[in-house]
Amino acid sequence: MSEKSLIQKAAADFAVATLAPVSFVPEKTAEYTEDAVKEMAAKGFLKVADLEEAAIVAEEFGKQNASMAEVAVVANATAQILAANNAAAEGMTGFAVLEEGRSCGGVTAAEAGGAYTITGKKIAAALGGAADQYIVIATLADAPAAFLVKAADVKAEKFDKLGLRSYPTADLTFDAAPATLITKDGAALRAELSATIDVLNCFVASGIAATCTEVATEYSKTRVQFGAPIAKIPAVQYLLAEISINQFALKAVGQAALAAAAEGKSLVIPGAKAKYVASKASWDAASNCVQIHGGTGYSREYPIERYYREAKTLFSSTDYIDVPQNIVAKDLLK
Amino acid sequence: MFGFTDDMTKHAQIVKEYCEKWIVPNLDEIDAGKCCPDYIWEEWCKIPGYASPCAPKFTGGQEMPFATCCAMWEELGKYDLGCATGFGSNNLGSFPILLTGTEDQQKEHFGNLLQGKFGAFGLTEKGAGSDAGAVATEAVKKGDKYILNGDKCYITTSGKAIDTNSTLALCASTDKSLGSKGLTMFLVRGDTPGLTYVKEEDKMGIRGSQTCELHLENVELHESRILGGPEKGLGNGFKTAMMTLDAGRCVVAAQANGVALAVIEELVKYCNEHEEGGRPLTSNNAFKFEIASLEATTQAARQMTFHTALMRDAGLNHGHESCISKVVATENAINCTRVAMDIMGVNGLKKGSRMEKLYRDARILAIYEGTNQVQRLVITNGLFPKKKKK
Repeated sequence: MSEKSLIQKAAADFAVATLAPVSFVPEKTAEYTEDAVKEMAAKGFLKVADLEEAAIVAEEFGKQNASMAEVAVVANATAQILAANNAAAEGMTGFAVLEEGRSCGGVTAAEAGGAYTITGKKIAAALGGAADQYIVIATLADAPAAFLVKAADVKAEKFDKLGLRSYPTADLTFDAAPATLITKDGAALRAELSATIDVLNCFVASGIAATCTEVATEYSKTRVQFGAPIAKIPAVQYLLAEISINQFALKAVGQAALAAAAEGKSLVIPGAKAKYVASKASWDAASNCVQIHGGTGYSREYPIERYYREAKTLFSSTDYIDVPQNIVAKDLLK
Repeated sequence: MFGFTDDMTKHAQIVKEYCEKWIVPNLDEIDAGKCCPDYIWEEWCKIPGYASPCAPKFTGGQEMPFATCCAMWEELGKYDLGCATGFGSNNLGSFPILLTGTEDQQKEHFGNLLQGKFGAFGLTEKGAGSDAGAVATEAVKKGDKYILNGDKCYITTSGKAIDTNSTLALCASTDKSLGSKGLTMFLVRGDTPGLTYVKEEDKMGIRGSQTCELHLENVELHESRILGGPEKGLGNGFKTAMMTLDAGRCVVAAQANGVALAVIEELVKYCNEHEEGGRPLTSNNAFKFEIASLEATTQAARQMTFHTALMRDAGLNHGHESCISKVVATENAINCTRVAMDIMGVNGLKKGSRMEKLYRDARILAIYEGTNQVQRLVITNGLFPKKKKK
């Protein structure tokens, strides 16, 4: 067995044994399953060696529990970015970029005697309320810079959302919070981190779509209408096939982006391209799954409706405003 | 070219004022439950005729034109699709009685509704969803009575109809050997022994609309409870259900257009209130063009839907157009919510935001009143009619 296969098996086994049992009720009630996250950390899933491993974990976790998959995505992406910027952090690191009424710019940093403080409010911070520290984008001398702020110095207020409700997000208030400067080029760090999360989210979405393929196939084989299983109906077969095709596309665009990273290139452009395809593919897969299940797919008694909420939340929850078309167009026209 | 009549404009305005006063301030409460709170429904019923707009004049109703009803339901859908669905049960859900009920049956049913009670229309079963003809609930004749046994699911406002001893139109098989031609519609009183609702569905959205599973155990009905009477109504249930759906699909299209209009309203507001890089989002015509595309498809869907409604009011066959309207309008509404989420990001995702609720609500539109696959089946049946055997 190759090293990657071993990681995949370990992630898959862990997801089935530990994450699947806490996927249904906690997500319905927006409960953060802290014990499961501690186990993820203890097993090393929150600080993997590289993006390829992070992608494997994201996909296997995504099949069972997308909220926990997203915790792993953000923890691993922030860890990779901090390492690339020679910044050290203990435990889990979140990401705070968005602000009310705009994507960024209102939260400011001040310097006094070589020490920095941050003031202002961020909304929907990734791992908000659960992380040990946050990467924060704040304006320093009229330009965005990136800082590390300890969770103990921040006031967190839970931000509940459409899907991935067990994955913690929070509005963060900084009142002259002590901060460590990571880089004065906050725009570049933000772009790279957002792209990394988007690429890893392609694998979470691939995991959700794989589950959609499995449950919709099984359902269509057993659901009888017009005297036969609905799987016999060509129109239903097309819906099923489209779920599988979209799952294939999600994994393919994710892997194409990772290939660029493996060559040492920035993820910003391939990440934007991957996100553009993945956002629609992920939604299509989950929407088809709901459609095949009909009323059952709309009921909160089953997980199908959850996939539909999660598919949309995945690519909108962290840093959304610089839409992929903007990024790609700017690159083409520079 | 279609335009609103004065009557449609007047009633759309009344609905708008009602929604601003009673629905907008209470959306969180509506979304937290499994049914619209009673006081909101009671206020709706205070508006003359609104408890059941289609109720015939001889029953004390207003007998509003179908196009006016569609204008009202578009406006309701704009504010809350759940309430639109639930309130619609007393309009659309009454069509079986309106279409085939005897005068006495209509007086009884609409009399209940005009007092502010909910009615219900029960066709769907676990084994009979898209395949409506596969109804397994059986009605066995015993003398001049029928004994009904079976289960129904996803029946809108049926729990309320039972609780208030209103009337429900329920479909059962009186002759299994005849398949769909052996189905018969019964008018059942809510307090009939053996009729119970076993649970209220917990749904992703449209939580202002109660959806229940019904159980019928030795429900004994006199043959006079057959809709249209035993001579005309026996074996007429499937046809009645399909005629009801012809109207229902157009109403769902109108509701979907309301959802799409709400999404566009939210997007315009969002772009006016947000900035990026010190510039308002309204300065970005890429965003504005996305919204323009949604506006274009939504206005096209509205034209199609009201065209269908006017066909119905003119007494023209409109089943084909109703299915087309439903497919176009519902898929447009769902797509509007998807695109809006892409533009609004976390601002659309936030619990308690209008957009988050619209996203969850809209997804039912391609499922109920016949899935959009069933609509396409009906449309293709019109395009490829079965050749008659020589």
